[in-house]
Amino acid sequence: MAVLSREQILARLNKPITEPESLVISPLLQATKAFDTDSVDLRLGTHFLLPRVPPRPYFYPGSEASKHGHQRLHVPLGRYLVVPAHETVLGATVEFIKLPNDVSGQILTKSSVARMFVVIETAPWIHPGYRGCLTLEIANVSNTPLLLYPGRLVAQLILFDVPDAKSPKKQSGTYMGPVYPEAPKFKEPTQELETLGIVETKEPKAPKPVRNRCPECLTKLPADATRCTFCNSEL
Amino acid sequence: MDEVNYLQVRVSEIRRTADRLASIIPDSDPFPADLGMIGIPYSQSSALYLNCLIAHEIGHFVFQRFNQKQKMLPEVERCLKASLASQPTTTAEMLDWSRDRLLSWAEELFCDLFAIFIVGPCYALAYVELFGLTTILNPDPSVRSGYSLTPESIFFSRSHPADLFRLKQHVTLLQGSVGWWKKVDTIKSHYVDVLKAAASVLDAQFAFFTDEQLPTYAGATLRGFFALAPTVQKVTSEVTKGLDSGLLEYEKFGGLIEAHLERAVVPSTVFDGKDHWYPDTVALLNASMKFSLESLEKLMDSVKDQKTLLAGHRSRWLNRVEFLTSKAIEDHQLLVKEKGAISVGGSFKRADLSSTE
Repeated sequence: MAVLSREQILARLNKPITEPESLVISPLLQATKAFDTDSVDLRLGTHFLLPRVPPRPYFYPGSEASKHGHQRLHVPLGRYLVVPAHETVLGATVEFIKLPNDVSGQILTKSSVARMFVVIETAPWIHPGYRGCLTLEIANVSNTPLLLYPGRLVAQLILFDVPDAKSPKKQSGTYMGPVYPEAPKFKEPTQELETLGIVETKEPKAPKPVRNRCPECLTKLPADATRCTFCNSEL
Repeated sequence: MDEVNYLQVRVSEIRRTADRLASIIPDSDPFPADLGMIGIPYSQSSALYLNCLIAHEIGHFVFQRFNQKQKMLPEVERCLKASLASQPTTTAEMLDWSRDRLLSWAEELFCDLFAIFIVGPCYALAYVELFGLTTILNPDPSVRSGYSLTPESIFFSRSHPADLFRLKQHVTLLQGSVGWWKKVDTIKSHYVDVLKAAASVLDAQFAFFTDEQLPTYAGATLRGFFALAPTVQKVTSEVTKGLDSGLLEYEKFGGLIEAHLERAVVPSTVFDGKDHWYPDTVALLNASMKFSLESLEKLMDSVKDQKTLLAGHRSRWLNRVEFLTSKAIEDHQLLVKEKGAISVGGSFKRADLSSTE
């Protein structure tokens, strides 16, 4: 497994989309300056998912988490998002990436950004065949609030060839083709652990969450509501 | 929910509020006199193709701003005179009522045709979707050409022409100088069957219907509008003269855009074997709509565990195609604005990177 050089990346970009070896990075803004010897610079996109305070005293990694765990936010180019000290937010790259079936990637925080004690990515590995804007798990680990400007360079993409990689007949659709940051998709812990033969899964004892506001539009609702009376969102 | 979605926002109220705020905020600008405002239902905002209908609303602004009513008035009078000639008497009241109908219908038709000039045939296809007009088709798929007219599809209201009459006029425009029809005709979709069905409806099959008692000359008024329709086509062509219909760009990049969508890839940069091009919004919208109508299965077939006949699965991937297209449209705005973009014959492409370090 070797890192792809600038020339190798360009050669992949110059392959027709119909070829499995083709690489897509779009939009490639300031294209002539976007490449280093062994990497491509990536920019911060305009869409964010802000984590909500969970309705229980802990985050429960179940199927509900992807539905109600975040608030969507669009920050137009030229505006900024404030990330308070020690807070996190999900963002995405401006660039949509389509990796060939024989290339994997790694996304790294740009060193200038990292030196502000901002972590851009904590799950940096991108599997061959991936296609989508890359979801960024942005964490401000500094002691001061931070301004994020969509459109600015935040990360670097390093590509590696994967010798002898076999092209799958069909792609997995779980995270296929996202253009906005995506919330995590969990199965219920019970369901997942059952496959390992674990039949009893415990959950912390905590009062049942009282949903008196719609997570989408924040309309006040009766405690037993299953749908929002205003925007009709499923609760 | 319907009341909230289709709430009418009064522009005059917004202007008044803005002016009131401007009067108490030092050095603030007054409300711009020629600022157009378009309201769209909340439920429509995330449906990409239905937002093609915004171009129709822009048409209303153009109609009023460029005083198209005055341009059409002499022809309206001529058509009315001819159609009401068979009436025993013609009063001023009759003329006023009939003139109002013709002008109202003409404005709606103008806006439709204007929208097709702006966004291409995807407007007509989005119209079919919004008004659920596929219900006129014969449900038996083996009888592709069969259709039955539903009352809602052939009735003119006081303010709007009948849906199928509008579609018939869309087809006339697409078949005319705009030149899009040869592309639409090849799309394998029941939406296109609806357009073809609409084109074959005779003027005599349309009717005027409202809840109120209609005057005896309502039918004559309707005939007057049929005579006026070619003038509306002509006036719209004059307004949009010199505008690029987007057909050329679509012909260049439509196939590549579809190839990207088939692989769940944003089609904002397409490679033709020599250069990396940035397809424009009209090419993106129309190629994307064509793809979703006739080739969504190709994308779904490439993904594990997706069943093309399951509505939930189809809806998910249709939604994804809309997102990919929306992203490409957003990207296009960025790509053509930046300094590195090279303009060649109306299209934009990326600078060659092989010689740069």
